Amino acid sequence: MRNTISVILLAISSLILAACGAAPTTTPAVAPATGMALEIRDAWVRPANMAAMPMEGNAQGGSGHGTMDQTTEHGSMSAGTTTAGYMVIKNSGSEPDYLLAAAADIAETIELHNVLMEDNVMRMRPVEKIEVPAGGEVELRPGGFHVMFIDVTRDVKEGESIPVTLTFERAGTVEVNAVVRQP
Amino acid sequence: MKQYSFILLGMVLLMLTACGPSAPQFRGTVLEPAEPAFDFTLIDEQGQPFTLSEQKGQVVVLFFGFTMCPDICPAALADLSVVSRELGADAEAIQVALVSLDPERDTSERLQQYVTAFDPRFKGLRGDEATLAPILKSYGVYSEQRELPNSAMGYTIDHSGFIYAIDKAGNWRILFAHGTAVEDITADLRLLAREGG
Repeated sequence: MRNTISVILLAISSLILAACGAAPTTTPAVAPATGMALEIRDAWVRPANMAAMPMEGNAQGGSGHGTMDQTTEHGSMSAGTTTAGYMVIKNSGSEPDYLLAAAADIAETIELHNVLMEDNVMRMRPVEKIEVPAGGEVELRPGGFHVMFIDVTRDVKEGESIPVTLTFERAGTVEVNAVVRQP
Repeated sequence: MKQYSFILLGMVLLMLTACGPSAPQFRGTVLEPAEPAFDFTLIDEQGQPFTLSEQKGQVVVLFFGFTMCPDICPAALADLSVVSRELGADAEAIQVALVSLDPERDTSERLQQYVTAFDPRFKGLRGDEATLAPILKSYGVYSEQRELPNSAMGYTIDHSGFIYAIDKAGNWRILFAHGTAVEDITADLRLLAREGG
């Protein structure tokens, strides 16, 4: 009897431990991140260099061009450094999921964008979400969907690993480490 | 008798053509007949004037884009930096330049920081809209500013993504569509680099 209880207790604690371990917190860059039915691989970010960027004021005199958050006919717009992130998101589930947002500590603003290419003309547009089809995958790649980092706040150096938190409609938040590299 | 000499002359000419270097086989779109590239003066990333016609003796490779361009411009410039590395010594005869379609945001410092991250030899050129307009028209560059009310970028520039190669004599010779393989661009630029200036 005592033995049975210990076995049950052991089983319960193992279960609890396993449950904790399975929570999608942080994952190494190479291992696929699993958030429910999603698997993310090959996450990478282009390097960005802050050197020589006019962060405040402007050495060029009173033109006001090139300063961050300058007020022009476009209102308060960004003129900071940008970079982009890419990955492949696979959905083994039977329902489509949607990437809604991405967060990382390397930029003031992070948006989801798409590039439409027609007749060799590129048009970049923000998108509200990126569909990850049921039983399929979506590739964020140069010339297509990408995570856009606007007003990068620090140097993003080749070889670094950037933790990025992705928010999905169904799967919730999933963290991935994106490697900084050239394509 | 006179006819024979013509025939002979014709044969000799044919043989000479056959022996001489055959017409180079370019992989990009070749502009025929090659015409002088539209001349312009823009300001480079050092704040110095850059006049196309003063670059004779160099192959000039132009790409039109902007520094906040999300990923097409970096892709094209990254490709061109690979091309430069592949070209080795031939790269010395080639000048790559990004022409900004966003002079409002792209200051010379910004352009310097941007282009030199790809290759320290790359140039970043800018000019005001009045200076740019005839250049864009002449090279057939499509460029249109689009407001993006839902983006922190404020606006973006829709633009065409061709790469233009101007030979050592100042003639616009080749057009590469976006996504042309690095090997193809390298092969064509090597041919242009090895032409007499």
